[in-house]
Amino acid sequence: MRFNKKILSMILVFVMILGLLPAASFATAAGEEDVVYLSISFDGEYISDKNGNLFAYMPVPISAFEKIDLAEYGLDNMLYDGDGDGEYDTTALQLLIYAHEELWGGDWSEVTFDALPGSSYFRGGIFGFTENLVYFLNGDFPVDESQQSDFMTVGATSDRIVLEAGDFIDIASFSCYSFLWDQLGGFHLFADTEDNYVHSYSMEAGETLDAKLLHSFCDLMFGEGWLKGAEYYEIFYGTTYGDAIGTLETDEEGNFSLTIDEPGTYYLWCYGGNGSEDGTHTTCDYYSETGTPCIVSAPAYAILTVEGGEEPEPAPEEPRAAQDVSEVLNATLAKQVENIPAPAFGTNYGEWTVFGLARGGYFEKGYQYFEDYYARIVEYVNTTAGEINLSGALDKNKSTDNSRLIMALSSIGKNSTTVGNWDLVEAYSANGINWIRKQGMNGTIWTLIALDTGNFETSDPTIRQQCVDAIVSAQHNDGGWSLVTAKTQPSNVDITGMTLTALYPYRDQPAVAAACETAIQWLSDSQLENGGFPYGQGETSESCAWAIVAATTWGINPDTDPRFIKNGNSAIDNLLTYYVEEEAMFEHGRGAGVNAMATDQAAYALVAYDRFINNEPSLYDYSDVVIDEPTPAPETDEMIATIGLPAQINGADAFNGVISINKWDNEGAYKLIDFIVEVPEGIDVTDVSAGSRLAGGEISWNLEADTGLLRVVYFDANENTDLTITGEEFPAELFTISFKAMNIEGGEKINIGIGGMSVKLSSDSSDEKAMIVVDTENEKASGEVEVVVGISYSAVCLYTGDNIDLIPEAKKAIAVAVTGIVNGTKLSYNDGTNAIDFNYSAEITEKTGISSYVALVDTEIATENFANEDYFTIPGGEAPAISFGDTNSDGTINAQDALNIVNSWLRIGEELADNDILVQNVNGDSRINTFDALGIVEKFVNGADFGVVTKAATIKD
Amino acid sequence: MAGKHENPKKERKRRKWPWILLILLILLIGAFLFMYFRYDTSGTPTLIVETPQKLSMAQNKEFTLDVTISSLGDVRYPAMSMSLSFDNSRLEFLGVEEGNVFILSDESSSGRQLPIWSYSAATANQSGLINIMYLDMTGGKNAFCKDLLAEEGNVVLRLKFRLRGSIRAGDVLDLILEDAVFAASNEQESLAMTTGSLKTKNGKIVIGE
Repeated sequence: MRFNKKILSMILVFVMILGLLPAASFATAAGEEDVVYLSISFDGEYISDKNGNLFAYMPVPISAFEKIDLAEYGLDNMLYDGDGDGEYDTTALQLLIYAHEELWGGDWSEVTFDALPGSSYFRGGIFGFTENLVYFLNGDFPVDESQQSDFMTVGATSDRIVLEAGDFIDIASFSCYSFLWDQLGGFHLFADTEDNYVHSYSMEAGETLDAKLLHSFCDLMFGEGWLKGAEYYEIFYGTTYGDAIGTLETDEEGNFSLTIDEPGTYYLWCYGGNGSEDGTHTTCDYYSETGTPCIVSAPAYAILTVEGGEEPEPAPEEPRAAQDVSEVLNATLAKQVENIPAPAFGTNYGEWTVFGLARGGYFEKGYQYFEDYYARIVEYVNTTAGEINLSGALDKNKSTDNSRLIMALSSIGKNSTTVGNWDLVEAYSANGINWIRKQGMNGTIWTLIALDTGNFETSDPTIRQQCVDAIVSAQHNDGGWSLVTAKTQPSNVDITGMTLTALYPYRDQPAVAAACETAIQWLSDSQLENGGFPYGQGETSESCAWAIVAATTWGINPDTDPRFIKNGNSAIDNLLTYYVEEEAMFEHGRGAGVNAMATDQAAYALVAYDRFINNEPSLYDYSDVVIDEPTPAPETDEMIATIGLPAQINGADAFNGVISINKWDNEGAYKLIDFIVEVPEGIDVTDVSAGSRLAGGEISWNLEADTGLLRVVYFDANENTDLTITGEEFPAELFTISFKAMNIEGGEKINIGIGGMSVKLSSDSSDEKAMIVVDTENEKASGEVEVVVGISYSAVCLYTGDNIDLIPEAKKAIAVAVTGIVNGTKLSYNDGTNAIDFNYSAEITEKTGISSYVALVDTEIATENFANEDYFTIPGGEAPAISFGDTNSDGTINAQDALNIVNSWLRIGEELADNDILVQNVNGDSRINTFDALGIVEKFVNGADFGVVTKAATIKD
Repeated sequence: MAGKHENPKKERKRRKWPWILLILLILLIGAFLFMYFRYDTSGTPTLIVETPQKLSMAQNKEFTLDVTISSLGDVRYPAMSMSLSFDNSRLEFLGVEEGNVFILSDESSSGRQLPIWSYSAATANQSGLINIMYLDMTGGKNAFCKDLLAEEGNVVLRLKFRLRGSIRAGDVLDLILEDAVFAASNEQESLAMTTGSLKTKNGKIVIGE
């Protein structure tokens, strides 16, 4: 039997074979032109939406779900043009998706179902049902006319049910599928005495309503079906659904009568069946045990308006006076200073605290507390932005790190365009909307807020509008926003509050104004009876705080405006209930104990309110802050030289040291550069050559045998030409020194360092400006090379993808240097889980002097694994060779390769394979974009080495 | 049976005919090959480094050479590059001057503009290889296309040189196109020297007194 049920559930539920039922008329009331009505039940009872509202004849605007693009859900084969007019119809499938995601709060991607047009059946997940659904449309089973035949009638599936204004779709699911055989299974419908389906009745108080309850019956197995009165069936009525003040029973034809004396609005309902006819069983087991089907049917409900008296109007509430929160606010801010004496970069104990104190006027601009914070920030930014190296970005993925910091710095009057050596504002333009949107709504919201705190100009003037457009388009139909832009989560008070705050400066745009009007209403509607705001299944002080910030931003008093008062409790009242006076801090949830984040947010919400009642600019309106003029980045004269060396060599290997410099001024009239290298015993120097980008001189060098000092000078002895470096990328390679180990024993470590480097502008030694001393004291100006015996491996990570442009976050490029191997020999890696064939790179090998291989691997594999000889085998034969930049493998790098990279970035063509990524990411950063195309141009025109090659030769693990 | 005797004179004439026909055939093939390679009757687009008149050491210290294209295909070419080798001991490459082959432009009222070429004279003079590239990063909005070619004399760009002091009368200097491509987004439609879809003709400079 179980087998039979499985088979049936597999093949039938959405493909309903039934006899035509008598058509019931369906009245469309005035004003229903743009809605359809939706009921959803499970085992005979209505289920609720995410806000607790019953799916019982729930009106759903067609405009809300007709926008659902089936193609975006991978359902483009279910687009339906039933009338053949060339335009796709609005179908019940769109309603289902909308109801599942927006009303019920589910994630459609988790719904599993067959995706064949005209035969779909949901296997699980929709509205939380474990199995299938059945429909009733306007009091009838929907029929797929295209499959109609004399033999059978086929029920229409959701993608073939075209919806029009006023339609009512009743969806039922049952834990027992015996309704397939159950002649008592089906739907219930309230009707008038003429069997016309109705949803609402009206009568005068004291009159008697004569009506009928219908029951659709069907035998899905034998294609029969009919509609008749529900005999001897229990009907409930009351002023609230589910809370009955009385019951009725229908007669043998389904008729019933009801008399009510008190005017008002009443509900009539009946529950569906879910059990045996004799009431002794309630589960599907009954069918298993007896072979008799369970009674499974959907509930019904109607509204009864009893007229004859006016509803008493509620007494007007006394207008409230705005309360003073300064005592709580001052105590909270003082406590924050006490708790957080040295704020630094970070979500906790950092920007939010500084921001609250600054906007709350606790400290003045320039106060030492703020200055000390700023000093810590400069240090952090110089380190972090330098490491990230994405035009001032503080994180590869989180633009909110920049936004939060800019917001805080602006509040203390610091200009974020010059923080240390970095322009934090430029990060938005340089990294673009994709970087911003990596954090969903938070990214775009906080970008706007940050930019507007200082009215910062952006080098990409479209950034603000891109954010505005992205935010507006992500608004949910209920008026709110959620954390993700895909509308797969229910609207969220915090995010909606933040969004309203961010959009306020753009309120002159009609789309923004309209969006914010509905959002404010949604926010008001979301307020709980205690004045608080929901977060998930509960409520938090943070949600309340953000409602307050949004309200004050929009000129609404959250303590006195009726929109933010429920049951006499204002949003301010509610926020103060989270305050723990003894500790002068706030709780996240009541009774949960005080919390730093909750205190930060409550503090600035109270600041927002305090500013509002004192007629000061709103919390994020910084017009009362004087922001410092941007200070030009300190011009460092320091030129820094570094040397790149292989990690390991064999005792008789030749290898290279690559000397690079961090900056160069082609207008500096540099005439000569010289330096010394300390060459250890056992190492010879076979050549010194200038880098491909260095021009203007000729090289001379000598290795002094006695001292081991290599002296190098580069200049133009004949014409005294200026020395120049082509290209824009730095560090730039200056020289390559070719070393040769002279039978050094394994196990030794040799140190090679550069020193005494200077750039000279003239020969006048008395002129202190005639010479620039290059820093060779830094730790990267020398290096250690380990002498090993035989085959040995060392590895460095060249880059990791950041998911923005074509390189997945889960991928990184590894360069492995192998000693004691013939160049180009095949190299295979296998750690038991991952098997990787490495590509031989002649370019890196030439640059380092050591056989070098590259591969794109999963980031989960530790880089040090690639230095573990146990994981490598050398199976013989030639390794596949990789040539950076040669995108079409034609052996030539030219305009076609540059264009191919541009096309990749434009997403024209096929998805890139791992080796394509290695070939195209010529500058060796985390993305493939137009910088790589320009890298091709630079290589082609100037002969400059690709950044990835230089990186492989100079990077230190 | 009386034998048939040929006139010996006539017999000699008959023996000459095959030779005459063979010579005519060879001349015909030669003429065809000459026409084919000289005038590119195949229709394959050809990039040509135009050979100038003999240059005078005294009067032509600096001169320009046109690089022309005979035709283009039906698609857009958002990128173009060429690599020319030259004798850097006797010629100094000074740079690139504008030609008359336009690219598309939606910023210009005429809908076209001249391309901006990337090159490095310093690198070229050091290596003896001139690498020149144009790259449109707009997805084809600023591409080369057939519609913007003139009826004749399509100068892609002009190469400007200076004669070095080492030059001598009678020197013959070759300018050899090592690689060239008009790149299309669909690489199959590109005109490339490597695939034979773009022919090239090298230039030659003859130095006179």
